[in-house]
Formats: sequence, structure tokens, C-alpha cells
Amino acid sequence: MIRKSLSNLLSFKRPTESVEEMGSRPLMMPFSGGGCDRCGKCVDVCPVNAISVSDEWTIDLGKCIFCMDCISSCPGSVITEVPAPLYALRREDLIFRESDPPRESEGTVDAEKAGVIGSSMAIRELDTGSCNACEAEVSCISAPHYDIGRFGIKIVASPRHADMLLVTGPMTNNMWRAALETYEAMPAPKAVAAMGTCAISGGIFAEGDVFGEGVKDTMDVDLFIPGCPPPPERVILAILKAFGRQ
Amino acid sequence: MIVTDTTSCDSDLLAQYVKTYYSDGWRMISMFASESYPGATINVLLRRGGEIMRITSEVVDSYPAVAAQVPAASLFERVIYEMNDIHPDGHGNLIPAIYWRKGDGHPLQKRPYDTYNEIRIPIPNNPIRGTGVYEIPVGPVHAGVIEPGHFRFSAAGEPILHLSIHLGYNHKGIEKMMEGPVSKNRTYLAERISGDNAVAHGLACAHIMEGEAEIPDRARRIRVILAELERIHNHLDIVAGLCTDSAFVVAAAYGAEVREELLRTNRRIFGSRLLMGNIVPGGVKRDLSDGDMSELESAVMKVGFGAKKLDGYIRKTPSIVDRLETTGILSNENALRYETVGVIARASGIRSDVRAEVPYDAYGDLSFSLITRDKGDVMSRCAVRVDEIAESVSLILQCLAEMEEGEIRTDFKTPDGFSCGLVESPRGELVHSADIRDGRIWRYNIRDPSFVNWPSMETAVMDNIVPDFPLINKSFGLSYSGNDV
Repeated sequence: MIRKSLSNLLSFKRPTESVEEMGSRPLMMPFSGGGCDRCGKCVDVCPVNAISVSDEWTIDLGKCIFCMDCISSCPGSVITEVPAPLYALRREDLIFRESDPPRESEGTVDAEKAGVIGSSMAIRELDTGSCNACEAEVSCISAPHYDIGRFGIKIVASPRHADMLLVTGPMTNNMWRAALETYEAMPAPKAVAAMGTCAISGGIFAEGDVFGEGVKDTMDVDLFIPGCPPPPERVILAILKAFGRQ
Repeated sequence: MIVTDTTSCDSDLLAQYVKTYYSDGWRMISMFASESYPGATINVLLRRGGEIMRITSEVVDSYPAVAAQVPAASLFERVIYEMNDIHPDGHGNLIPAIYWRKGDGHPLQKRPYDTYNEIRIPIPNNPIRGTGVYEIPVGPVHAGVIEPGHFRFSAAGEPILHLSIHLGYNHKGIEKMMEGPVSKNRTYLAERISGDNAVAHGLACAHIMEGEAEIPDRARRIRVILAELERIHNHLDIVAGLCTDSAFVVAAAYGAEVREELLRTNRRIFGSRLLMGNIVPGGVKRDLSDGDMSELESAVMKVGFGAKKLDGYIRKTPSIVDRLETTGILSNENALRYETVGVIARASGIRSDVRAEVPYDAYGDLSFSLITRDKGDVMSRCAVRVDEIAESVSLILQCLAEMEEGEIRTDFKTPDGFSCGLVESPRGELVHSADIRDGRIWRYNIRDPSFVNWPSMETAVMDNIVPDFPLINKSFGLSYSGNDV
């Protein structure tokens, strides 16, 4: 009976997606393509103060939680949905202005790191106080649809085995010491990726009981992956591209 | 939801009052202090079926502990001591619950304070000593993709003699951030109290903000659809996770596949895989088109079928059944004593479900059955979850079948005073309560079901072997973030 049920199960078609298929579902972000009269309505509704109109219309994707309230509040309907970049290597690359629209991400992390750990990577996921939505998404990346193992990437149990720390959460005051110890326990060369809005800037918890503004104030971050939470395919694609695998 | 009845009493009599209500069948659902410097009000919320009672008591800086008479108050009073610096006299066990830094900073005090004093209170060792007894500290950084928490096992050989759970690493001060003018939209923050229960937390917050406003029928039905979709993906995650933790990777992969299909449907229809940003005070954000409804209908039916098939794989594999049965037993007696809620209580034979007892949104018009089991082991919790998925599918289909055209949002006014929002989250009874004074939220209290369920795990793991702990932990499926807020 067991054999029957198992063979029945294995005959189920595995829908593992190719890189192209994964890339076909963009994450949309709000952006004003031009014509903003700086009325400030979007600034008032933004729950995380990601938008500023003091100089020109500016959005900080590292703070955005993708609620899209700015789009519905805009009286002139100039704010529209545009595809968000996959990743950024520097924090300031996530700030977009009307004159500096979001582009496709390019460039790789430090050449030495990309060369040494890029082809076979062990990731240690570290929660520094996230709301557990990022964990729900990270646990999907080894599931059949995404199957991160086929790229030579795996999630490991100990920081001692890890090449990269995938950090989620706003770095709470109660957690930052343990987070730092985890970082120090990793062998060099080591990379750090900040996944999700909280890890990038503190996000919606920036005014709470958190240490600094995101993970970058505790450790050196090589890769920022925006999203709240970023869907699993974007985490995979960002890692592949930023480490020169695509 | 406005509280049905309010009484106040002298702080010396508070414990006696609560105890009297307890003997009358009332049960504590939340307890917190609302400061008005100088002094504070201790609020105790009790529930019996559909009635909610609030007992208030004015205190200055200490009062006789309720926990001395009613053990359920113990954890709440530890938090009151940490957050508001009000000392419950005679409590007996004031070790840190979620906030560890001592000194000037008591985060929910209204009295201004300067800086945090960075003295960490050390986590106490387990009190178990003896030949061959050793202690295994685990965490806060665990082996899996999981939230941070610290566990200390005392074991002799393999069996666990004692477990103490120390949480708080996820504390972000959300209750403090919730304070402020009522006009601010708080559902986005509420959703991120525990991201996988985003709809439930958003709903509880929306219920408070809406007051007595009449929510359009269509919005109420869409809310039920959202809440049940969330229940399905949470339950599927845990059932699949049980397969992973018992090394049954084939079924785990199948479960993950079914869940992923549902999450993708969520993203196509509601714009977010975890359904974030859909609940707004006064209704819902997105309307469903006819195309969406038929897509949703076929998707949930497929998921219901998938869940049944997943359950079949577990039941037809004797080695897995052997692993799940009689593991991590939470007896009915202990489940009652620890006042557990939600799936964990139902798997131990307690018939309690907010959806049936205090119907909110469209649940009053829908029919569903309450799933219970009596053994209280990992298998029972798994079975309750599987059966609840089928109930959720039926609820969604009922909502879709009777969906009428209409508005999805309405205007509302947040009333002053005390109000609370009760929701059955996928984890169990969730309580948000707010003290609103002059159009400002003065104190916002969040009680996630995990908060009351965590201590019961300390008794469920007793006499089980250490390698079964991940399995038991997964079958409880508790949130660290929701506990620590």
C-alpha cells in the first residue's frame, strides 16, 4: 500500500520553473513617471514615510511596504505601478526620483566574494525580529516550484557552514547581539543579504524598539532585496544575478 | 466590538473578583495596564461564550497579584511588571517574559524616560539537578528557517525532564507604535504583528477602528474569504512541515506544492501571496470580479482535494503515523489548566471557536462544524488542521455562492472608550483591545493566541525525546513575533 501511494505521488508532475518563468512575474512598485504637481497627498497616506515631494517626487523603495495607497490617493493619477528592481548593492540605489527612474538591477557583489562563494553557496537564514512573512517566503525557496538546490544553493543549519547570511527583520534591540554573534561565527569570505523592507530600513517598525535603521547598522550588507515580503522567486533571482550566475 | 459589561473594583479585591467570575465559568482573555500618570488602570477581560466582561481597577505602583488566585494571569502580570513597572505583589515568578532590559525604560509608561539602560537580565538555568541530568540550550538562532526564541531542555538520556521557553527576541514595541490619533490607518502595522496571520490581525484592528459601523454585506463576505484562505495556507504549511520534520520528504514536497498553488492564486486575485493589505477599516480594499470568483472557486476546491490527498499519504504510512501518534500529548486537563485556545485546545477536546461563539463579519450567516479531537497528540492536531481545511473550503464556497453585488467600503467613526476586537486567527482566539480617549488611542493591547499557548508546550514535551521536540513545536505552530509584539 505504501509503495502504491508513493509511486502515485512520484508520478505527480513537478512544476519546477525555469529562470525565465520565475522572472516573468515582476514585483510592482509605485512610481510617478512625471507630471507630479507635488500636492503631497501621497506623503500623507504613506504609512512608512517612503515618499517625499519636497524637492521632486522621490520614493525610497527600501522603506516601501507596497500597500499602493499612494496610487489610489493621487488626484492626478500620475503615480502608476512599474516593475521594481530585483536588488541593489548599495542602500542609496533604492531611492528613486522622477528624474532617476527605477532600472533593471545590474552589477555583482565584491568580485572576490562572487568568485569564491558564487558557484556553490550555503545560506544561513537569520530572523532579527521579522513578522515571519519573510520566513514563510524563504521556506518556499527549497519547495518544488523553486527548488533552489538545482542552482547549487542550499539553506544550512549553522552559521559555521554558511557563506551568506540572509537577514530578515528590523534588528530588534533584543536580537542584535545574537545577530552579531551569528555574523562573527561565519567563516570568511562572507556575504550578507538584507531581505525585505524591515531588514533594509527598519520599514514599518523603524520607530519601534529596534537597533538603528535596518541591518546595515549592525553588519556590512552586500545585497539588498526589496519587497514586503519579497516573493521567493525574487530572492533566488537576486542571489543568482548579484553573484554573477546569470 | 464593544464590551458587554464593565465593573470596577478596588485593587485589593481584584484577585478575589476575578476568582469569583472564574468559578462562574468565565475565562480570562486578556489583562493589561493602561497608564494615566500618576497611577494606572488594570484591565482584565473575561469571556464566557459570547459575553465579554471587563474588570477595571485603579492602582498606583503595586497591587496584590491576581496570579496568586488565578494562575492564568501569571504571564500577563509578568508583562505588566516589565512594561509598566507596576509590581504584582505575591506573584512569585517575575522572571522576564518579553522585555529584558532593566532600568529607567519601561516602554509602556506614559512618564517620559531618557535612555535605555543596557543591562541584560541573564536567562536563569533550569532548576533540575541530578546525576546524568544535563541541560541543552537552543537558540535564539535555530537550525531551520524559523523565528528566534531560546529553549532550555533538561534531559537525562533522551527523554525531556523539563523545558523552559524564553522569548522576547522579536519584541518590536508594536503596542507603543499603535498609540496616536485614531485617524491614522493602523491595519498595515497590525498585519505585521504576525505576517502569516495578516488577515486575522488586520481584522481585529479593523473591528476596533470601525466601532459599531455597519459593514456592507459584500465586504463582510470577502473578509471571510480572506480569513479562510489564510487559515488554509497556515494549516497546509504546518501539515507539510510535520512531514518535513518527520523526514517524510515526499509528502512534504506535495504539501508545499499544494500550498504554493494557493499562494499564487492569492497573489493573482488579492495582490499579495500572504494576503497583506486587503483588510482596511470600513471594509476591504479589493473587490472580486466574476472571473476572480470562478478562479477562486476552482482553486480552493483543488486545494481541498490536495489537502485530503496529503492527509491520505500521512495516514497510509505506518512509520509516520507511529511517529505522530502519542507524541507530545497535551491532555484535556492540562489544556484547560493552561487555558489554551484554538487548534491546540480543539485537538485536546475543548470546544471553543470565536467564529461560533462571538460571530463577526459574515460568520453568523454561514454554517460550519467545529472540529475537535480528544487525544491531544501531534496526530490529533494534524487531523484537526486537515479537517479545518475542508471546513474552510466549504465556508469560502458558501461565501462565493451567495455573494451579492454592492459596496465594499463604508464610512466609519471610531468611538471613544474601550473596545475590543475578537477574531479566530488560524492559531486561535486573537484579542486586540484599545483604550481610546479624546480621539487618540491611549493604550493598545495585542494578545496573540501564541501568547497563551506557549506555556502549554512546556508540559506537552514532558517525557518525549529531544528529537521529537521540533515535531511537537511544529504541530503547535505558534508565532514568536505575535507573542513578543
